Amino acid sequence: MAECPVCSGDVELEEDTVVGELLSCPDCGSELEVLEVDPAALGEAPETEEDWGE
Amino acid sequence: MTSVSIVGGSGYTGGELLRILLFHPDCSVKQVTSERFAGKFVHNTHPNLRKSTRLKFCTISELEPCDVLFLCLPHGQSMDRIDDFRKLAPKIIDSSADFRLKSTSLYERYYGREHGRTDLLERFVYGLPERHRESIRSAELVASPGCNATATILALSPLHRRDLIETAVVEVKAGSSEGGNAASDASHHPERSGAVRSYKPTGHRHVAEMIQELPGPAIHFSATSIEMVRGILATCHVFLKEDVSEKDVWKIYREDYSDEPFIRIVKERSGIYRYPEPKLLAGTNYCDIGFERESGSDRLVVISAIDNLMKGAAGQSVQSFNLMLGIDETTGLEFPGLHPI
Repeated sequence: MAECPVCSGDVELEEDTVVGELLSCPDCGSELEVLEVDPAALGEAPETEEDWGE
Repeated sequence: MTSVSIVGGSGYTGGELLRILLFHPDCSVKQVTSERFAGKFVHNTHPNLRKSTRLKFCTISELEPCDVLFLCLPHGQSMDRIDDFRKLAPKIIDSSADFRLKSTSLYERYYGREHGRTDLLERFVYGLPERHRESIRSAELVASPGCNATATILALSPLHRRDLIETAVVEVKAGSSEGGNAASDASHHPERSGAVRSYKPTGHRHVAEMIQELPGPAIHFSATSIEMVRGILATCHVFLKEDVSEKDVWKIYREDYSDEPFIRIVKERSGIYRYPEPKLLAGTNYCDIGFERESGSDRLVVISAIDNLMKGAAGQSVQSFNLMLGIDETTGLEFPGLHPI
């Protein structure tokens, strides 16, 4: 179990979760990146930036 | 099996009560009254109930004893006949405003008349399970809250409990079914359609319930009727006494509502429905609550949504009924709503 950095909700991690994996918080829906697995730590995943045709 | 009857069953709340109670596993609907439609099938008035029941409306004078009476009469009528009703049933759930308020002065101020049965005010429990669950369980008499009051009180209660509200400004957008099923010039389709009508910028009667349940801070309330049949969206601008972070607000609402079967915190960072949306709650007993903390100010916006005929009326009454019976609070109220709708 890890804490969502946005809303402090509980985010469950599967046993085979690896660093860099992307998860969603079940409470606030934030896209989260697994920073560490033992102990578990999550960060906000960088948002995909759109290319406006430059 | 608990026998129930509905008094004043031709209105929208009565129709919703029937829709729920006809399929409730622990009760049987014995009688439904309507002075206007006595002798007619209830499905003539509530066409969604075709083939669900062959019940006909009867008059109040034809009522027989039962275990629980649901009163869905216009304001003022329950108190006038309450003694007759109490002779018919040991437990009563009243959907009108007659017994919601404990203070007679508050009642007189907001309803513009003297209360006729002040002796019973303390005996009625305000039927908002999230605040008065234990009292409802042992109650014989329950007064079901008003719809706008329900949406507002549930939105603000966790902050009020922690003395965080300096003042609150609440704007409700409401569907037309709040006005009941009686037609008027204002509800005539060419007039009503497309209108965004400020029907109570100040002085709404439900404010009395907010004052009773959330005493202390000033709550300024306005209601606007919009192009919607069912539903309420309450946008509560809360000006805080002290600085709290958005994470603190999450914690506060989780502490109070995580175990509540009909309250959901809705605040998502992606998707189409990121905050409470009344459309998704049509026919359900949920109250969805979301919030956003404004950075650089003392404002917290709390948003709540309900179906005014369900969590704001019939559904909430059945929730109290379940508590009074000592059965699972969610019985008969499991419908999750429709999507898309």
